[in-house]
Amino acid sequence: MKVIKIFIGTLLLIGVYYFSCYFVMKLNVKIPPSLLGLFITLIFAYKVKINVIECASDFLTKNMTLFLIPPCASIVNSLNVLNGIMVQWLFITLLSTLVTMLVSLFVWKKLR
Amino acid sequence: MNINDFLLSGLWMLITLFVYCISVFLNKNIKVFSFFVPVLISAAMIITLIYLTNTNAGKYLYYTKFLNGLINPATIAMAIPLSKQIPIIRKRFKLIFLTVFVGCVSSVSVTAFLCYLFKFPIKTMISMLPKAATMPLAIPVVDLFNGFIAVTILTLAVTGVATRFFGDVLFKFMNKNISTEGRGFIIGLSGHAIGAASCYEKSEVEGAWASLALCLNGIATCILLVGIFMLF
Repeated sequence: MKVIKIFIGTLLLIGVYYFSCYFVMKLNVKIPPSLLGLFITLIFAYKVKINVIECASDFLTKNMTLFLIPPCASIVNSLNVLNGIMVQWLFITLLSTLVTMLVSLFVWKKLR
Repeated sequence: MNINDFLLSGLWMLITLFVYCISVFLNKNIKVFSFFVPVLISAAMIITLIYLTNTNAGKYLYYTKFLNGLINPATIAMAIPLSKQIPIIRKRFKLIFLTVFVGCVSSVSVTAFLCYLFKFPIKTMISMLPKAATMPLAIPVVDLFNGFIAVTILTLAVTGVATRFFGDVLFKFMNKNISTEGRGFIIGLSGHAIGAASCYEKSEVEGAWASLALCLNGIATCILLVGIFMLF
């Protein structure tokens, strides 16, 4: 029974995604369709509770990393992009991470 | 897709599923692997398999496109846990909104400034800007504006691991000057899923706040970047 609920819920979410794709294409704006779909679902989910979507959401969010494996594994094809700038790239990533943490920590502590 | 491709597609998807199960097991049970999220362990294993079987990485992506396609409904599904957090967001709106806003703007602006300083090509810069956003939200934005997804994935991985390290040092130094909620929120905000995973190891409350922060910061970063890219 749970499997059927997950299946139907996933189909509904895929439907929301394609609706968002259509909307983005018609409006001719550069917004990721999944982000628009997230907002549409957020508005609906706050007002109405749909059991099948909740089941599918639980399953999909718990296993989200599984769906990210293919793009992560295919990075070997384009690693040459960082040739010659690897050290700078690492420096930028580490420094901006530290700055982001310190700044947001400061704001959190000030406002709390 | 012919019958041969269909069979290979099924095989690679089964292999990916199997590797994912092993990675989750390693991540939960062996301390060395707990530092990384299952996706990074799985990716390393798949890359090794691709290399050993002499398969092209592009072909692997083609064979697993059904699995990869599920990331879109999964991203949309993030709305459900987020909708359950709305009462908390409304209760502490100012604190949450301003911390996410400042964190998101500082992450994007510092990265952009440093990339400009080192004269990075614009496509590499675009790929690095969503470094604090969660992967399912960062990838579509970078893809939409023709960035390098490989650079984005690597930047996100390093950011996540660095956040765990900096977080440990920073909060040890601050001792008891920061609440559990605050710790979780800051780690989730700058270290996305890798950071949030480390928070869940410490406590459920810290993990929940980290999840909330990673969701909100992912959305905020996407909106900010789409706005910036559409303007310029």
